[in-house]
Amino acid sequence: MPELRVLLKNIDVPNQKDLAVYEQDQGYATLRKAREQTPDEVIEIVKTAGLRGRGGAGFPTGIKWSFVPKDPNLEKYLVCNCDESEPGTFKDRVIIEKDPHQLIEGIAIASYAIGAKKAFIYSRGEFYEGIHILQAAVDEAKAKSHLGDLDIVVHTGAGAYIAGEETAQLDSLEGRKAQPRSKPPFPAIAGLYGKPTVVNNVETLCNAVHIVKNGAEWFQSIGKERNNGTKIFQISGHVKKPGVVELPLGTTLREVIFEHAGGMLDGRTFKAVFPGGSSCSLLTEKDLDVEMDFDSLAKLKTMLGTASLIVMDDSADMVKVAHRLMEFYQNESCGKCTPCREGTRWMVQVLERILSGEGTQSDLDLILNVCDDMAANSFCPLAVGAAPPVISSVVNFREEFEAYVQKNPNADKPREMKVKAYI
Amino acid sequence: MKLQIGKFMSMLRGLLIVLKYAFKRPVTLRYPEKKRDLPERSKGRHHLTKWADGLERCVGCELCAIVCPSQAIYVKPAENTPDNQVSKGERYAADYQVNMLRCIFCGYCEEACPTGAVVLGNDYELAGYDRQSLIYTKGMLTEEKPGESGFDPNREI
Amino acid sequence: MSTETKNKQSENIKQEMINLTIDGQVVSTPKGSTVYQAAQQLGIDIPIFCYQDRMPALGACRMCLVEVEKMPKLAASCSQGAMEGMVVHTKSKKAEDGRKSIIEFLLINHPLDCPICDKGGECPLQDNTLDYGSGISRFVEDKRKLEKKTALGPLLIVDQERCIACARCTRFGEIVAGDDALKLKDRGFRTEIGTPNDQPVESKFIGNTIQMCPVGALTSQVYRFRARPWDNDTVESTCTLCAVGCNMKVDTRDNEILRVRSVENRDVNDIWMCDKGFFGYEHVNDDNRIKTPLIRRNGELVPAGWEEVLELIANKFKEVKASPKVGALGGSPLTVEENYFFQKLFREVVESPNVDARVGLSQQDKDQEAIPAGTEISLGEIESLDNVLVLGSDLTETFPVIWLRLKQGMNNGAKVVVTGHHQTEVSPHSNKEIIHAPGEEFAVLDQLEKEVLPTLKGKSALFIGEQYLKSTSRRKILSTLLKWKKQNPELSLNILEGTGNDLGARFAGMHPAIGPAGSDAKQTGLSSSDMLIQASKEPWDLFYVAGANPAAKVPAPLWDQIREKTKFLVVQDLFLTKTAEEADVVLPTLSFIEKGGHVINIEGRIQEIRAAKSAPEGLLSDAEIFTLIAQRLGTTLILDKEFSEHLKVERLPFKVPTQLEEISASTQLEEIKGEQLRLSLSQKLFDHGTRVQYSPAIEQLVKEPTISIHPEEAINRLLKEGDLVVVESEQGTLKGTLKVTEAVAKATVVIPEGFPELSVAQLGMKLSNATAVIVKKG
Repeated sequence: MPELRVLLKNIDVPNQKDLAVYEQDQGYATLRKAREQTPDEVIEIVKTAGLRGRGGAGFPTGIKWSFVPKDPNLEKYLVCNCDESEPGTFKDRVIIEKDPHQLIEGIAIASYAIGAKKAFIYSRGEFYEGIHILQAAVDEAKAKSHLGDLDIVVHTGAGAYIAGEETAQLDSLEGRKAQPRSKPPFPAIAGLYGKPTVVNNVETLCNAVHIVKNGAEWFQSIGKERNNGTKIFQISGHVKKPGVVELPLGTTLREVIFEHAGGMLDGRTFKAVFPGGSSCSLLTEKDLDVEMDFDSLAKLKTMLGTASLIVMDDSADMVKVAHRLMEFYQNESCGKCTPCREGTRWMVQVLERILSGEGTQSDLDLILNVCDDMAANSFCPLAVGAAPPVISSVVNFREEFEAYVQKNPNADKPREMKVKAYI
Repeated sequence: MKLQIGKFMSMLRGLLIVLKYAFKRPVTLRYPEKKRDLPERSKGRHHLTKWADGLERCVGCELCAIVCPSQAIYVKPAENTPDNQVSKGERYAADYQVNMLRCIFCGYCEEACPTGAVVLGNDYELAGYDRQSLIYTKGMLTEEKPGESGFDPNREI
Repeated sequence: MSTETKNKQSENIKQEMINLTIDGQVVSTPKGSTVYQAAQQLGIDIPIFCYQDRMPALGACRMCLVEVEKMPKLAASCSQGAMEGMVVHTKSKKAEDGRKSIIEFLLINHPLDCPICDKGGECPLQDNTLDYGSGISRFVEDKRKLEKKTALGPLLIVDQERCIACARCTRFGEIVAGDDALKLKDRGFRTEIGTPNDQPVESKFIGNTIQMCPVGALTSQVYRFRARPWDNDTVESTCTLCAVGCNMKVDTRDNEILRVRSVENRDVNDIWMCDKGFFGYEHVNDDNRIKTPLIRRNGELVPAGWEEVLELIANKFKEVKASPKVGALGGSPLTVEENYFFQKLFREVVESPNVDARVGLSQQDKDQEAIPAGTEISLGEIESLDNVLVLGSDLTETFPVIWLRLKQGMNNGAKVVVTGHHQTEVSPHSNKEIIHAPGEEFAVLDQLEKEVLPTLKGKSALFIGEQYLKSTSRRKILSTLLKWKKQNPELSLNILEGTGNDLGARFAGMHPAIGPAGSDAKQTGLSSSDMLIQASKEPWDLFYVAGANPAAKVPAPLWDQIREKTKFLVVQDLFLTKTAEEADVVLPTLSFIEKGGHVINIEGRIQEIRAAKSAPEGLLSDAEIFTLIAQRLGTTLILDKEFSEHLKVERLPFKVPTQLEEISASTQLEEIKGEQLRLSLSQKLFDHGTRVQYSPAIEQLVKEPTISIHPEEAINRLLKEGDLVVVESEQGTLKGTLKVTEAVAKATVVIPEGFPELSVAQLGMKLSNATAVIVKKG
């Protein structure tokens, strides 16, 4: 399947980030079109199109919008989630740096649909350049009164992975430490400052522009049933051509890696891939023919997530991979709930010990068991995402872990705790 | 008649047993000239032991006091300061008393002690002329040098 | 019709019940409650850490996991809403395994130093581990090593290793106290307890966080390593350090007070207390307490026997019997019974009508006072108010726990309007605030009448405090408020003034115009300031001072005159106060923790105090002293049956008149001339009063008293922060350090009461707010 550029259509146009250039290709015409319809009609189009959230969870966007109370006296907010921190993910960055007005138009359409007069773009602080481009674009759009009475605030995050979780992002926006809130109430009912709020990913909002522009049927014609539209795949790792590529949902994994990413580096063979960022189970050679869409990947107990493929060849040491990823989650755990705060730390300690040649046989089952406990009982999806990469590494590449364990002469004996005299 | 003979015989049997023991070694000792060798783990008076580095083992946790069935132990804890580091950690026993009149030498205190501080030694000769002298204070119970009471100062618990 | 619909509505609310099954038992619970609450109803125990029923559920610790049928994951019962038809299992294998794993997670980085931990023995983590843990841990790595002792303030010590990040303490500051005193810093396993900007903790309620901490992470410097919970003898009593009357538990060991904890009373303090209550008991243990009666011989106070001093006093009483120049002062720290004896001793035995407990307090006569202190609503009702107007009251400094209850009311949706002479800790939480100079009260009331009064809907309350009450126009202000009440019957009037057992002293009859149980005094006597003023002019026979320090409440030169003219001065107190130092006879007495009796709080609630420790050897209670003196004069002091009947009610009725007649005597506000500013007297929770002075823990919380003015006034007078200034009134002068702050209204100077080093009494007798003073460089 050839690349199908919808969202990325204009990223190579010089100075696309300038409003004048953006306007040349029907820029903001869709927004005007949307405003000619009632908000409910806009929501209906998005609903019919079957757009599913591109931020990872894949929740139908139109339905999310329709949860917002219709009361016109109630203040509502739209938050654009641009806190792109998932390892291997770099799609939002391309959009905000190359085609920011597309996003702003999407935000304006979504705000119109839900009745929000104020929208926030929560960008991760590390997107230094992107934030400046976005801010300039917002100012330009405002100056040219494309936005009407909509106010868009570009907010810079302070470097917390958890702020990508929608409720934690709202806490962070309110000036608190980013920690997820309990749901219900869902943000659509009580979100930012307790008001109805919709949190959408950058890619989702950009898709909304094209759906309103070309109609729901057009969108349905791309991809598969219940998995419509294109998706920006981001490929990193041991491939010849890492980068972003926009393809219809349902393209096979093999095609993405071996055609669009140019295949494995010379002389190397494919070993494993995380199909949707690091927070999912990895896939191996036998799964290469899976179609990359929400439902097909769910059947394999993994997920499309942000469609960020981290490809590993035979040189990858899966113990080190597991350790590195768990270390990431340990550092990024917000510390609110017990299983995640303590479990990630514990797992890092065990994996460190295995790497240093002091692991025991029983450690491997311990890892599986503790990861299960952690994912099952945690407050938010962070720990739920922290467990699968490690579990799938142990399950699929147990022999690599065992090879490390065998370095320990006492691997068969259970390790005893070094009781340090506290008192 | 038969009955009377029976009675006489049984008396004779009794006297024979007495006679037999008259030629055996006595089971009693001529205390206090002679003293019995005690089993190593017999329970006598308490000692408060120290670590090899001279710090007191007791952290004043009072678990001995709460477990004591005869309420013979009194502990008053206090906080260690850098100038006055008595035990490891933050807490030490500022006062520790065992009422030997109440103690039943059950050894629960030794069981309960999380640091192996209080141990029951072999000294069982505890007598006094007044009650006050039988309330052993911290000074009386604490060993002066680590290991003095016969317990290895390096032992873990 | 309206009442009918209301009834119907409330019925509807009542009917909105849902049924669910927990462990095979069906329970019906109001809609909106959580699974945990429903389980509580059935008496099913679910372990918790982060959940605290006075705050919204957080769901962070995951300790309360239960299995809900048809839900894929275990649910945190504290935050899981109960739903119709839900089937919950709290003791299924899945739920138990879930909780076991949580306990295992919690313990991996929690040090096992229970033997040295102060919480050991009363620790929820210990208890839950025993009840719900698996008994073994698979964790064999190194535990996290952090600083064992970090002082976050003078009284609060944190052990970072022990913290399980349940956020109870930080959320208490956020939700209940509103002071944001503590914060969780960093994230993940590095989470630590800290303060904003790493400054010493700034809170009046930090004792509550220590009490709420489910592990031994937060401990108080006062109680650290002093005892085990099983050592302590516990007595329930009432705190008398302010007029809220929080219920408390006193823990003693070997007859020494080790700590004070709060006791739940939904009607008074809920489960809270302020730090003065938590740590203010220390004066009881202080070595400076008077240990024997003292007699002045050759100009020196020397120890004497009880027999001798009581005989001496009795003889003096005989001498001065029926003299108009005899006065009894004080009584606020005494119980109701003791105050009753005190006034009876003077009214009936010495035959003097001059009794007054209001030393140093505002002493308007009954007409000027119009309505005495008291509240129409009970403190428990504050949480369900819809609107609150706080007029001239610094709640956190004077009635700290009322603020906690009001904050909970705000969490429940109450709107709060605040007015006053300066900003307070309540200000940042208020919906509207008016800061104005003293004397401008009527303009503010007019504004409120136009802007706020019509918007009040539902249950509303007025809290009026000393800034407005200690004013010459008190009667007129109250009369305005009564007019508001007429317009809005749902508006309650609550007059917040006084401390300790002031209401009790008044009820017992320690008031020149009022006899026991609110009856009119047979013969009206002089108020305490009138007595003192008279004694400064002409010879005075006798003053008997109990639990008061008049020497610190009048200008120093005036006191010298009073002392010179007073022939006999008896002082009865815990400590050698300034007055006691100059007395002829000093009688030592007992503190509120060593005696029993009744006290009355600001809402008129009659509460009991009980002796938590035995009295120090050789000391008698105030009641015993009064009785013994009376005996020597041939009278037996007993509590009238009729009066003791009055003490059996729960709350004294607080009657508010429907209106107040204008009286011609109401004084006009004096004019402000030139450089003059208006005086506003403020109160501090942690001041240098007699008892706080000898409580080392509280002493550390006291801030240096300052004379505060607005920056504009400072610029006009070429003054700057930290300058030594002199405040001049018509009657006297006062020196102190200047504080320049925008928190104070313009044309106003705010001076705190209760500091001997900045004794506002030097500015004159009968001070009131709005007195004109001059502030200049000293």
